[in-house]
Amino acid sequence: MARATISPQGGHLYARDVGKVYSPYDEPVVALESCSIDIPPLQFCALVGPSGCGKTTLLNAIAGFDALTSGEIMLDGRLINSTRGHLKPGPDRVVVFQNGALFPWATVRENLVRGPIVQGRMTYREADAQSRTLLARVGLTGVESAYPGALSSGMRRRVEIVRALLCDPTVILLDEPFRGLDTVSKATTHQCLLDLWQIAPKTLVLITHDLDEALFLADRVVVMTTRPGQVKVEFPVDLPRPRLPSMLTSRVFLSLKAQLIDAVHEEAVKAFVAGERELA
Amino acid sequence: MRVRAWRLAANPSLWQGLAGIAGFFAVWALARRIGWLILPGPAEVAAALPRMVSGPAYWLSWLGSSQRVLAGFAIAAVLALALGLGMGISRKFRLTTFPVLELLRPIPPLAWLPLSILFWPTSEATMIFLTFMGAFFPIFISVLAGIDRVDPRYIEAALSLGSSRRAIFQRILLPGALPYVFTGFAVAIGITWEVVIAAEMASATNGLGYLTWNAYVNHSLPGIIIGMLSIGFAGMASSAIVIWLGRRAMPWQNRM
Repeated sequence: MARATISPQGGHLYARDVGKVYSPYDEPVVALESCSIDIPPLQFCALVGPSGCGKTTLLNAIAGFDALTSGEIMLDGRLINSTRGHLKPGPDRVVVFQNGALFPWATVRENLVRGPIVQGRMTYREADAQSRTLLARVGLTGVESAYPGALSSGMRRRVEIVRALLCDPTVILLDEPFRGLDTVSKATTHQCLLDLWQIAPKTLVLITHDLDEALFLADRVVVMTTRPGQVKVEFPVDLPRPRLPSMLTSRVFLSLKAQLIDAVHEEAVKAFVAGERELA
Repeated sequence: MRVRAWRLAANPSLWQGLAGIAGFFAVWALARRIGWLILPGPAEVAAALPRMVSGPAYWLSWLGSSQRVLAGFAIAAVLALALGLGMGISRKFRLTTFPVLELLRPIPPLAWLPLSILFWPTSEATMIFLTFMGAFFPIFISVLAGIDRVDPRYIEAALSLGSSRRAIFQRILLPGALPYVFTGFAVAIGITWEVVIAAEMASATNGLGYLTWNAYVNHSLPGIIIGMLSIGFAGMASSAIVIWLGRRAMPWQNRM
């Protein structure tokens, strides 16, 4: 199986001193503060941390949905978000959403072909053929004419990952995409993601609460502090690829997991205490 | 077509529905029998039925009322969709126009009757205006609700895929709002019938409402009941049409 050509720029994501302050009512909420992350091209980077630590805020900033209040984010040397930047979300940084965002009023086929057609990269027929190939690769032949409502959530997530891949993005941003899946579906979908990533490598940024998932999938796990979010510590994952389920019980994996749990737990306790203080 | 008819006949829901209606008639007949009801029972109504429905006058009443309902509803739908979508797109338009509509919305359609009689040249125009007023606000509010309630993640997903703002409007907001729009249609069609009947009783020379009122004037109790039941059937048929249209427009909502 020939490997797809790697995108020329590669997908180097660099967030420098990023800050985001929300002021929904009168109290300003500092979601992110002096957060810096450097993700080299084609790396699979997982972001973990307690709820409310700003992971999704950072992802939204990278995607271009939310302007920063300080700092800047660059993709391959190009500014994609800053305090004065003109936000432009686009298929170069495609997002796979929590709980899925397949358009329920369109069939699977329509959901998949819309991206490449709108971006002007393929004709309808090409996009249809390409989507069918990718769907087959994730074990979903024959669902093209179904509406998302007729599929199980595991199937929907796989379709959404295929939708993201069809855009041939430079970076794929995944916001807890496997949340709520049962163990078996999660394992299958993990495998799909890894398989697809092997064929068409891209920079991947994954937000998750599942530490097993983070270690199993990623090259590097970044732990964020509780609000205001910053990078607390990073763990490079030294497991060989392709990742196998048997690695989940290897000594390397378990020792990494132990360190990860310690780091995250420390922040989680801080978040809990801070939350209690806020309510008090 | 024949297979469809067989399937319909075999469907238990159909028979349960018919059983329900038959039960209603049975209770009515019984109430009349035991003297508890002074209004005519189904037997008397059935006896008076042939005379009323023979001859074109009865069926022309159906036509007359339906025409008014259709005209008022169609105009209301178009206008409500236009205004609702406009407000969904342009915040400025919404902030300036919405309060005016909110001021008018609580006024019951029939309160517009005196003004309409004075203003509109024909009584037909008056009645269509009233049905319009009945249908407009439910549809308008539903359109607005539909656009507001479209999950922002779909918009973000579309932006992520590279959609233009215009494409987002056409392919995300419109389909996303459809379920709410059809709910608005279903509510509006019921109100439209209520309004048209009342308007006809007040100032028409034909139509199902006029028929019912006329029966009262001519001291024909069965006639009143026939008129009312006809209105009921007409309303039921209209709702069924709206629901059917909804199913055609939103194929993704059909579950097994």
